Amino acid sequence: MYPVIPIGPATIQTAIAALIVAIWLGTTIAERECGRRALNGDDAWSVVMLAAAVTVVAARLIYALQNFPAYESDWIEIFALTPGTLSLDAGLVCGLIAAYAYVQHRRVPLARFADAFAPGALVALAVLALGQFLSGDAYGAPTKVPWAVNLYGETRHPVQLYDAFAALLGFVLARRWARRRLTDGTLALFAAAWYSAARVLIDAFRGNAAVLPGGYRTTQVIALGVLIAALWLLGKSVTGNERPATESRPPSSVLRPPP
Amino acid sequence: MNRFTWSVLMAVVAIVGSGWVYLTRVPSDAETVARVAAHVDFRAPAFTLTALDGKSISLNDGRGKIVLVNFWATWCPPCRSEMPDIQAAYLAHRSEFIVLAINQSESDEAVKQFADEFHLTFPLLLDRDGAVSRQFQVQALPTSFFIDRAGVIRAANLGPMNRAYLEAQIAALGATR
Repeated sequence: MYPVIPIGPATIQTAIAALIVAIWLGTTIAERECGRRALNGDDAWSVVMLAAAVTVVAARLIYALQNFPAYESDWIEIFALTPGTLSLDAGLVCGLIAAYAYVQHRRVPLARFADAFAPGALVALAVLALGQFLSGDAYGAPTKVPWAVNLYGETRHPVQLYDAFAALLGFVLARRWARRRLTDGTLALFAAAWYSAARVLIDAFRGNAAVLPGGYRTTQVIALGVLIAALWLLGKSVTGNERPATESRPPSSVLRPPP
Repeated sequence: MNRFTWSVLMAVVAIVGSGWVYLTRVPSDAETVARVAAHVDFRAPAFTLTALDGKSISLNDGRGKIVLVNFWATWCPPCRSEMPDIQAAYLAHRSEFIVLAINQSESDEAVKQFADEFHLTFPLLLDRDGAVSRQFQVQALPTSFFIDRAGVIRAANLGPMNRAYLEAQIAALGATR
């Protein structure tokens, strides 16, 4: 288990290092995909940086509101550089809203922009899962399978590696599928459906899952909902019942082959 | 693919997916906190160490109270920065909150000087051979573990804590103000 990575005399938390690498790698891939889709690659970086900034600020403010008595005596601590005092889930929702507002404001075609982000997002998710494997977070349930890893006194499913493998396989498939002529948004819906299906399957082997009443694993329930919604939307383009968005899509000659 | 085939495919995915989610529920009688490990949601490893004043202090002595196990050293700047906040939180909640500050392999004299400098009144434990640090898999300083009244680790933090974080964790573990 490597919760920290030494860098000279200092250390960096593995989770934070993985997050930085994931954002950089995912956005770099998205920038290149934007270039292939007649979109401005700078928008990829702008939207990610904006979303990241809004996520952090909102996460801190929401944490302070949730723990108001803790800040009552010394509100200046709202500005403290303490990673522990963030409500990241709620902050991320705000970050996504900010990203959506940016896309609308800049009049970027949302579906095509989402397609450009799909392969990079899968790579980013794989990097985050590898970070969790190194730090020992999001660990697996006890098992006796030959590939189990020894962690916290038991041999466990390396669920983080399952997760990373599924995301990378999704990336490979998305890159292959991206060469075809597709309706805008299809690739993003495929990525959402693929990763959700993977989480429905893999989270069954997680050891520290958050659970709903009745013992249902929260992530599985959410992922199943996203999977069904993504398949329903995907069906509209795959079955050809929806008019292709040719008006908003560049001609096929604009699409350059992947490097 | 026509619309009917896609609808059938979606129905199959929904049924199989729901079945899988149902079959892989976490059993209600599952023992959620069975193992001992230095990680959130596990029982904290037991230890007994000698304090600076010569008393022998065990983690189990704090059972029934909220315990902060804090690994630190005098040469570590973030440890120095968080100590006044830990002391303030300790004084504010001392009836139900215990701090066990474990020094990593330094001399009694250095630890005493540090305690005097920061006016620390909670127990400073001496991990002379680093055994407890290894038990808690401490790889960087400061590292802190918040342990609930039943002896289960409920939060872990790498790096310095501030008063707001301390208060939020103590409140989350059921301290009264």
